[in-house]
Amino acid sequence: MNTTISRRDFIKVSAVFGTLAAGSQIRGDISAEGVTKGFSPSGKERKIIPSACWQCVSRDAIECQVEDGRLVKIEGNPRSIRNRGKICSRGQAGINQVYDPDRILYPMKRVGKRGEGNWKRISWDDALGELSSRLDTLRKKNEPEKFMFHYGRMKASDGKIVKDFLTGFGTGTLGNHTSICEGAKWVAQELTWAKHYDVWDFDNTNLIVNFGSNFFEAHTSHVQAAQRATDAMDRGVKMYTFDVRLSNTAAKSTQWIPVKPGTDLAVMLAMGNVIMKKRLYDKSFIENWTTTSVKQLKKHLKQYTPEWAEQISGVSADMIESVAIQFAKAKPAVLVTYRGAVAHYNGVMTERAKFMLESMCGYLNQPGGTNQAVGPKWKYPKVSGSTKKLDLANGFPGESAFPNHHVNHQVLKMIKDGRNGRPDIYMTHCYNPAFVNGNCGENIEILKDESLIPYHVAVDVFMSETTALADLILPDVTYLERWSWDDMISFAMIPEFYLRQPVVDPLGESRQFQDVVIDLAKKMGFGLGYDSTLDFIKKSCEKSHVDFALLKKNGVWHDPNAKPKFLQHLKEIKAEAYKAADVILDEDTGVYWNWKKSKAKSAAEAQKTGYRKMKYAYKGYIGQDINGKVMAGFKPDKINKSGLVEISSPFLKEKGFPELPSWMPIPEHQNLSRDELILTTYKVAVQTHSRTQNSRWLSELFHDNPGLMNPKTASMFGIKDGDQIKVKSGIGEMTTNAKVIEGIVPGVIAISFHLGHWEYGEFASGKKASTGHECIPDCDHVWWDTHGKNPNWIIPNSPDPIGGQQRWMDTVVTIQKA
Amino acid sequence: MSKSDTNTGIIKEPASTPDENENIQKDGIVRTDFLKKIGVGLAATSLLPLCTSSLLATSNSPTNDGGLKPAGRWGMLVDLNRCYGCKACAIACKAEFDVRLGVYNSNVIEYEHGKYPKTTRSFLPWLCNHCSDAPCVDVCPADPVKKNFNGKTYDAKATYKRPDGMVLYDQNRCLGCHACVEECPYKARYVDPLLRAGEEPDNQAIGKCTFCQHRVDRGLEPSCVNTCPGNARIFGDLDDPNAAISKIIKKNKNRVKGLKEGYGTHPNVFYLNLFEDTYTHGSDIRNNAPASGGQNRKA
Repeated sequence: MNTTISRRDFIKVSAVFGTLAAGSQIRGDISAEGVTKGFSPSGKERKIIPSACWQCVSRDAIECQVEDGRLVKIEGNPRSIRNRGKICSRGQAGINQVYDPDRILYPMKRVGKRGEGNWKRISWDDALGELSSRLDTLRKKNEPEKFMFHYGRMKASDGKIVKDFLTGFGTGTLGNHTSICEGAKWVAQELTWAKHYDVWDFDNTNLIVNFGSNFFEAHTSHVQAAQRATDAMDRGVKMYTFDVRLSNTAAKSTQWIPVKPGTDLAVMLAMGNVIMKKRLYDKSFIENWTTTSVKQLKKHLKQYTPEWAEQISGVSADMIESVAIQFAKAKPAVLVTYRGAVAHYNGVMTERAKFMLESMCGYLNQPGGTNQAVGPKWKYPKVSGSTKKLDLANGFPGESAFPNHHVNHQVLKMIKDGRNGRPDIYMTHCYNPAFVNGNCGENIEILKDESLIPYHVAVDVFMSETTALADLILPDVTYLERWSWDDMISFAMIPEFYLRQPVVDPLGESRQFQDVVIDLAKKMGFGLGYDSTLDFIKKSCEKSHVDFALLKKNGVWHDPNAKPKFLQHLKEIKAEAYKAADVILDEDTGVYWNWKKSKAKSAAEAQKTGYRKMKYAYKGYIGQDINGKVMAGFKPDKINKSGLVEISSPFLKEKGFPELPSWMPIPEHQNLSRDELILTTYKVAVQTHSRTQNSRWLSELFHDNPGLMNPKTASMFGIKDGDQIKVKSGIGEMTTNAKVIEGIVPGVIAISFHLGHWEYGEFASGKKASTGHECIPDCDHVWWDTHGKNPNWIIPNSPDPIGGQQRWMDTVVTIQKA
Repeated sequence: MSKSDTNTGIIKEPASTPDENENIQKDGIVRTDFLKKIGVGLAATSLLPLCTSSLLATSNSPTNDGGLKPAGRWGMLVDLNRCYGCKACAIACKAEFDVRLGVYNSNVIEYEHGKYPKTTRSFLPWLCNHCSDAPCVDVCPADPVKKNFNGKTYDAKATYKRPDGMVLYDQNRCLGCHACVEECPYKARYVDPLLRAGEEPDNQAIGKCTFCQHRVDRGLEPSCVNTCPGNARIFGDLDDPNAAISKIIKKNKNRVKGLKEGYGTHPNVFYLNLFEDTYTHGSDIRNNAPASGGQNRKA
């Protein structure tokens, strides 16, 4: 063997063997039972239990070390092909969740006024007795839809079981939270490309162009993406990051390219202009795989010159041209987007422009490009039945053209409005609308109003701002005390099946919510077909041909013969599939589809109405005719899109939007006066959303979020670093401190979210939970006395007109020294 | 079950009493008694992941009992190109040792620099440098005792350097004078806000990075290395020319540096592409956390 080795060679060699660095997978002395000696500084024996993280939606595979029945350490599971033995700071801090001194450990019933913080501890029998009697009343009145279930984070088997319960009960009145995340991104993908979730194949790419994604700090596949991007850059791949603020991702990029908020779209359109003008496009992909043509694109993009985009975005025309040329010539390159680009009025259009650029260069589904995600396809027991629902989750009529992922930040307002009815029972589960949606003040007012929400049940582990406004609290377990099978997508492009299992016994009287609903269903006389969460998981394993015992032992499993699933659209569909009974060809789109899976009552009706117009036709999609061959194509979801990349979208045209990706200025940002700034928000590496601030190790590192501004901005207002400032929007005013930094575009104030809790326990807010607090030694060592400010108080709830995405980054504010 | 998540009594078990090679066999491979009983071969084969595809190789096996072998001189290399400032290392260390709020064995310094729009941010993970000429060891007033490590006899005060390069401390023998905290030019030591010194329980104990001696002696890499998603931290034997760390340092000789090399401490933590301004001017948790006693960094 060569005696010298460079860091780069070393990584290359390691990659071949599936590990990243020498020693990174060394595990030492673990017995067959997973019991080890000597991990502990105290030398005590530790048990190693594989499980799955839940500190953010990435849900990495972990291994937990338990000493004397206590969870003492969490590490990445080295068997995982996704996070490859690694986890982030939040994953490491998971222990803090279990042993949070402010955890809710017993069922609690409100006494006194709602929100006053007075509780009575009650038994589970009494709690479920009260709840089931109210639920029974609704059933007897045949009004099951008046039970609304609203969750924030609930995934995989956790969600399947709860949804079975809701179906069995008969309600379809459900809410989620996607519109405050990246709903616009998903809607754009469904209009344009395929089922949502784009995997960026950093492992095989030659260039990364990033618009507003901070995957080195946050992101829905944070560790998977970050470690692969690190590898890519180590082998010399360049990364350009367009962002309003110098995120850590921007900082680690080859170059940070500052861009004005909401103008990423202009830059992308101009990149398209350059690629067409310089004839750097992939003609064959455009002509065969998209709904547009070279001719149409050339004509359409001619207007969007780099000089035009420079005026709008502040990015120089030269830079735009350079990045465009590098992107087109990289073969392959990957174009990355996230909330910085999509949480805007024009977010859907921006995401569509991403797919336009990648189509133009033929990068979609290629190794090194953006790929359709692969995840494990679990099979599981299902409850079927008809449900009734209140239409509360799609926003006000006409607000958003395609609310595919709903408009849940408007739910409380819809309830107040009342035109679509109101729930008698509003159940929240790991969902904190009082804090996480825009306009906190209004949310709180509605949640407090018993004439609008007569009964609020919160299923939670911690005293969130919303849980504090409940009438009944059911204490859930943390993710480290529960069973789930899980299913996050894989950047290895091979599906990984994995399991979450309890690593310690649930504290207090906390109970896994899934077991609670299974019991409730029994109590109310409708069974779900399984006896417990564990039973559901074992049955799922059987149906999915996954060895439960093996999964329990190793935590993860993937098919050893599986190959990375690139080029999914090129898969040829067998004749027996597209010539099967009930499958018809739609001449207009070239789509083969099974009409029986749609709402059509007959083949004749399906033919006559056509694929695009028939409700739920996409559910029967089989394949796409490409020059006489039937191929898998880009399989649609939620919209009757063809198997082509619909750069030109008939659905948008029909709703009065431009059919091709086109410039869509943000109305509020036009003609700003000199004293108006744009407020933008961001995430950091050591916090997740609103639900990790109770982790003391994380809040120790991040507990203050001053308003960031460029020196140019500060000097305009006579503000100095550290000054107290007032930030005022159309709906309210907040006070915070200014932090003057170079790493931000002038004309912008950036305030991270995560912080500003007024509940969530001592480490998050300085306030102990009203349901009880049991001190741990670190309670005496909290050295910070600031808990930050929540910008959501002054950001209005405002959906984008196409996808219903909350427009986090569009708010116009004025500032002054306080 | 109790809710308290710390095993902190007033006096903790010594965090790093050297476990004088009781488990180290003649062939130099680290094994525990337990493994000896059940047979290493059995353990190794029975725990091999059954999901072995081309993506997973045996080197990924959790039973890689070869592990880290006893070293001549332990060291760490941090590849700053691969560090993206996520601070998983800082929290992994908090968890490994249940480190109190206000103090850290290891963390990451951030430094934003350059005028807009040519602004960037640099990161610098820090920890004890396990110096070859450690000032903390020199100033320790405890009487030296003879200790044995791997057949080598050496003098150990309360703070001492083990023959394999680790700078450790024996809390049972610590007087709580904090001279070592004051003397460390890297401010890598702190006064523990909770623990009492073993020899003088009226005084607070000290704390520092131990290179995860308790793990390394069992063949496991340190906790920060284990979690680092960017694989920026490489741990190994600097005396072994075939160790990855030695090869990388050799190959990149001109780009590898220790912190404050002029101090003559001869640190054993090295950085690839060190930008020392990050250390000098960056934002450092040790300046913010007042509970850290003597840990506040001097300019």
